[in-house]
Amino acid sequence: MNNHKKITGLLPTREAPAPHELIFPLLQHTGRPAQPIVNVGDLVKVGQRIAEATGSISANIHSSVSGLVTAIEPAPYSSGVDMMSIRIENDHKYFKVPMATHTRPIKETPKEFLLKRIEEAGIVGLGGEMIPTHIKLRPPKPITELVINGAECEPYLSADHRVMVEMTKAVFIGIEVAMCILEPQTVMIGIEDHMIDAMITMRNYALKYKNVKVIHLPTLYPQGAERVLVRELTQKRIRQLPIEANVVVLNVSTCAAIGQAILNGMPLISRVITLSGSQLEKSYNYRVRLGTPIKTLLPELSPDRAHKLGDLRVLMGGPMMGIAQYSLEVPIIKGTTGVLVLEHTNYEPQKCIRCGRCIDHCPVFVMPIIAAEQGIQASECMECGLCSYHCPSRIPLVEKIRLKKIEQQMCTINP
Amino acid sequence: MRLFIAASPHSRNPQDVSSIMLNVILALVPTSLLGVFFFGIPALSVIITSILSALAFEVGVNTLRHQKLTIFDGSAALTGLLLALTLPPVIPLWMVVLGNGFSIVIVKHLFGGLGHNLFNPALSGRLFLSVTYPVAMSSWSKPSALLDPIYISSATPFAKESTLIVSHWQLFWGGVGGSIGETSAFAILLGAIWLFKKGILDWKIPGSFLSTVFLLALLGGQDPVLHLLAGGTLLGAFFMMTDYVTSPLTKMGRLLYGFLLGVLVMSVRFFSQMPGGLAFCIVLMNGMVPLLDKAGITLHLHVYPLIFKEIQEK
Repeated sequence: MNNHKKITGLLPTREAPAPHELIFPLLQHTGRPAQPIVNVGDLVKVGQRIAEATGSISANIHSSVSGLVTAIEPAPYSSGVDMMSIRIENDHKYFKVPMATHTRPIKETPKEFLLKRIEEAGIVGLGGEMIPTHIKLRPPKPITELVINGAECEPYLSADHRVMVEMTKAVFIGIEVAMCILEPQTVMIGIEDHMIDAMITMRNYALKYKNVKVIHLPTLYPQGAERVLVRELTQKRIRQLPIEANVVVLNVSTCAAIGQAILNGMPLISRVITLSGSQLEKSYNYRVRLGTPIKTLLPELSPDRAHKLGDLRVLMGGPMMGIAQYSLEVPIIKGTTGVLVLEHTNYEPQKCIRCGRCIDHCPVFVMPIIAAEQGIQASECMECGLCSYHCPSRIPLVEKIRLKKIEQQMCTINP
Repeated sequence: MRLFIAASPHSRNPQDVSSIMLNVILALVPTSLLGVFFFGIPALSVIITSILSALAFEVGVNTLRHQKLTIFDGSAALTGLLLALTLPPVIPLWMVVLGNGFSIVIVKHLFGGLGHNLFNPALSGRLFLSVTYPVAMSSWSKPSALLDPIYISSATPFAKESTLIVSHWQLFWGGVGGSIGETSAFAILLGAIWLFKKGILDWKIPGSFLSTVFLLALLGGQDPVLHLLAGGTLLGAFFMMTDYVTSPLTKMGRLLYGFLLGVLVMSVRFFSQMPGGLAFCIVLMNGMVPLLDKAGITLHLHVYPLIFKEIQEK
């Protein structure tokens, strides 16, 4: 599999153009949607909290610009259905709310203070899974290993790569905070071996810490999937969540966000994404304000220039697990790792020729064609997409397994 | 510009069914060329007739079943080529056509077409011919009788009356009596290496089959190398047993399949002297594949977890 990383991996991160109107969906995390605490007509500042966590699993949302709240209404959302969102008109002045900096050494800071800061900053897993980080950092049982995910295995994407090179200090502050809270015995940072510069920078920085190991992993999709990464680094097999094996996994971008939240008191209002794909002339890594609609980032797709382009798939995330978008109004949210513009190809499924490639390639030892037909092990599938990718008969295996999963969930709820 | 939505993944491996079939055909080119080199024009005409008649039958069945034409996926051409390689070079051409008719119409399409056939079409066609026309199917021409086939019963090294003493070297490079495709182990290995490199051939079936044959021959006090090189063992191991549709799906199932076939083939070779025993064994084991699939699924579910440290479930 060509990983297409050379396009963007070595380019420095750029600042993305600021849009005139931003959209903040109330669900940018796993759990319950946040509750808006601003009204239409309010003036907000950069870093101001605009929606508050509700229920046990939820996260705060902050404005990434200063300006006027114009509407609170359903708006396009990356999952494919409209989501209640706060629209904010940018006044391009960027007034900031005061942010509390932190100068005390992290080891001497009480755990609860650190956790509260992370919770207030609205940090969620930036690798795409979007679990609120403060939930992850309050595990129900003691932790033996902390795994830092720098594998970034999806083709095209190189945002984590650039974060490791350019924001090494913030990443390590984040790791230190997580170490302080979780008190693991060892910390392992897994990095795929194509990111040589990231590896060198991270190794040099890790020398300052005891118990922190930087481990290089072969470049192989899906190396960065939680379960595969934990298995590679700790030889423990997990079925659903790493906590089963006393492991917590954090993404490097999440660590950088934690570092910034603790050091500068900055809530999560921007992130690095990769803008790439075969149909774009130029590819970049961008630091984007959350809430930026993707049309701002893709001037090539604006109505006056798009007539040259054929059928496209605009993806949020990588080509293996990303979601194809139905509108260019969709905003960047906390879990967006990249925006890709690829050619649309229609694949005609044929009969299974029983080649067994799906079984040979499955990283978690599911038998995809059996799972798709009979539902055996369907719940263990993590939908990495390798089986569909390799299927010579072009059977949409992942789609079929998803249906089986839903079927099984319905059966357990309503027997 | 139009935006399309579809489920992930959004890119696919360029290798699809037709490119797999094409690669297998390519891998058989050295074997076919050597067959033609040793047996001359008759072999070439058998190969061409076989491929063309297989394609013709495929078109015919497609029309009858109101299907889209499936000749471009390459599977029919491959069946034709494989069947030709298992035939003696001096067989009458109408028999070749008949064999292909049996392969394509009855074994492949009456069972539901590519992906649903229980038995290997090429081998079933060959068995059909050797049961119906045993004399024609066992009149082997002497190799290197270029352009001038002589009907001398120079049997394969395994036949009972064989007084032929052949060296391993001759078996490896080719030039021994037999069917078109089984003369040269070298050419078959060349094709097999190509398929390995392309990721089409899985090592499990040929690996477990050939090692079983080797070990059993050693235990039985016979020459193990002869058993590996002669009688179409390699052609069967790399191109017949590994046919995707008629071999087990799971990894464990494949290992078991190769092992059981090895035992079966060696018991036929030890206790009977049936020519074409390998083909019978493979087709027999094809019938066992649904059972092996079940066993393979159970093994897969229970053996893999042992490899990794299992987490105590609450």
